[in-house]
Amino acid sequence: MKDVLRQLVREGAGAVLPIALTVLALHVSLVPLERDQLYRFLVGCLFVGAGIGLFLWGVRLGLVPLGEFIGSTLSERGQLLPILGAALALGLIVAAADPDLRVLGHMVADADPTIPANAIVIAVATGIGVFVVVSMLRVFLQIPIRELLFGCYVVLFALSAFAPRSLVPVAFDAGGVATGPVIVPFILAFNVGVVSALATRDRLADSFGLVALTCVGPVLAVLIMAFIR
Amino acid sequence: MAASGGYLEGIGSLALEVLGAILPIAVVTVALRPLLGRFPVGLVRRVTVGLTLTFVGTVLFLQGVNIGFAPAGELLGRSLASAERPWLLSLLGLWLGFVVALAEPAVKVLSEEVEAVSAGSVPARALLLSVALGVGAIVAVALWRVAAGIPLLYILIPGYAIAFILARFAPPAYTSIAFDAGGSVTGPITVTFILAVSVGAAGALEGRDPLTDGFGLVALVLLAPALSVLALGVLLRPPAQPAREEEEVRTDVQSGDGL
Repeated sequence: MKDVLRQLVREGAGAVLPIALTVLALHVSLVPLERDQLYRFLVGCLFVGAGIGLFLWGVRLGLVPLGEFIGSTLSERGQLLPILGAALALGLIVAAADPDLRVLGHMVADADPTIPANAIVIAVATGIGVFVVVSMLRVFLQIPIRELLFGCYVVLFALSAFAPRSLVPVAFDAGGVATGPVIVPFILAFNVGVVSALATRDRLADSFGLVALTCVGPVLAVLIMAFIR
Repeated sequence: MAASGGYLEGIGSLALEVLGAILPIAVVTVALRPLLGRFPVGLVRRVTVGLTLTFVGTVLFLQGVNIGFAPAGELLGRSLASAERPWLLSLLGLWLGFVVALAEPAVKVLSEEVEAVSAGSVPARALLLSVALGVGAIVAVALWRVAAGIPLLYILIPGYAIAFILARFAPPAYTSIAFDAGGSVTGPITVTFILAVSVGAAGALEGRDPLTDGFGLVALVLLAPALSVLALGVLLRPPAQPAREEEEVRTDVQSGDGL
């Protein structure tokens, strides 16, 4: 318990401190804040730090074992379809709960009120779910990761050359958000479960590229959203 | 984001929103029961406690972002962008990228991985430093792009081209780590604070659109650690002999993967 708390404080404080010190240094030099703004920022830092510590703890405690359990149990049954179905559903739903993705949704909606925050969240979460399935299929079909990634990026860049310009940067940012603090541990755990239950090939090799490949999904999803909007 | 008001203003609707995002995880898990059979003892409790902690943490985190973190970031971006010295914005970016990467636990894990893969020829410290410098440099470029109004793809496409070319020459073990490495820095702080600086700057500058010019920073940060890892892999390619055993193990690991 003591160790858990110590880690909690270290992670929360470690994430927030560099930003807090930078803003304070700028406050006394180049960019003075009003008293109210400064207080809100400091309280915000406390909330952000505590929040990061808590949700990381929750992910490790609950989501990671859950992902491993579901991944390995389904794989032991040896049927491909239930694994893929569960991967799609869980990828989608867990992604939608990721705090990074929520923030991106809010920020896009703030910048352009015609795009509802939920539209971004749903598009990105769907993209992640679909690409979790793609990366599972890759393991089964033994497609080399580098060629697959290269092909995906060629397609993404080709699409974005024709997509409406305004959403292209958001689309690629959404790819970065796919590496959020709730999504990645869960997907990795699910994959560890699947691969360890199959136990046919080297575990390590099959997990490589999973995160990179998952980043492709949201970019594609937001680009498609830009086309049909 | 929220204007002035209490520190807890709007937290109720935020809690509802997050609840709506976390409950489905529980629902789907229960729905999968027929497929999964019996849950191991203790797992149900762990998942329940874990989801509750995730819920509370996410609500607190988002509230903190809304009341203080994002507004401060946007304010910094606005004031530095409209000052007479726009290079200050890039300087801030260099610093922010550097410290955020240094403070990120995932980057530490990454550098230890690379130290192991390189059989010690790339010390964890060297990688940590080069990733942090790489992220700093790329945030500086990203904020300069905002001020100059350069389309994201003009930077992103050459960036990925370089990464794929480097991947041809770097030892395979580096390549496999490199492409997953991107995610190590694009965490909650980058997405909330640094992106807010960028969007704030785009909002303050004449002729820049927050949506088109302000976003794109996370995408560039995603690329930076991959470039750092691959560049180190190419530069510090170990001489043919050392650490024979380790290399053989690694080769086996890669062979099924084509990396």
